[in-house]
Amino acid sequence: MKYAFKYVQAGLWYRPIVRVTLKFNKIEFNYLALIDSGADFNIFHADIAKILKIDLSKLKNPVNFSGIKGGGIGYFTSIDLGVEGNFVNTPVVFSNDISDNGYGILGQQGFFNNYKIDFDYRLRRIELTSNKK
Amino acid sequence: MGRDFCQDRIVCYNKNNMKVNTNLTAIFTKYKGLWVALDETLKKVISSDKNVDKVYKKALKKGYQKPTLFKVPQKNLPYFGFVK
Repeated sequence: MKYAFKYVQAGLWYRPIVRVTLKFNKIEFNYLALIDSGADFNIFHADIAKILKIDLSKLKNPVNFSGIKGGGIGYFTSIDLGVEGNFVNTPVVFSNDISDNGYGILGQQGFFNNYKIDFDYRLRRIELTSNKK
Repeated sequence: MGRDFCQDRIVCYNKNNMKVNTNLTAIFTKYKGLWVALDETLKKVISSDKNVDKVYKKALKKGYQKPTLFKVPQKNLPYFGFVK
């Protein structure tokens, strides 16, 4: 299955931000996140884990990660991540250390391993092809 | 989000995603640093607050069963990474 999206415009910038659906504990909502091939994992705001009723204090697998400046701590768990209603169960890291100027991130493990992703900046278009047969 | 667009097509897409680039510029300007809940078109802000739980619950209360949550960056700077 293939899915196509347009880039999101924010002022001068066009960014590969897409709408994904997060599902856990029978709770489901959409979330805008940036597709970032430089990120090893999906990293989402810890605040939204609370909505999904995930208690991060009970997760025993903290992960340290690094970015352009400094580092942070996040907590691994797995949730259902959907694109246009089609879900895969996939690992995510929830962290309080996403910059105030940053985004939730769709990274290599958890997103790129589930989709072939074609970026066409000229057309401001992203095409996702699911690896699921 | 309708599902019928996905049937029997090589590439499926949500027409809301594809007509033009979703332009969040006004939201970036007005809701800096806040969580917002957006409707299906990503054009209408249903609710906003610093607390995402409040934003989500308010959207549900207004009848939006699956809002789109987004943390608006404090500053819309050129983007290179994500750590504090």
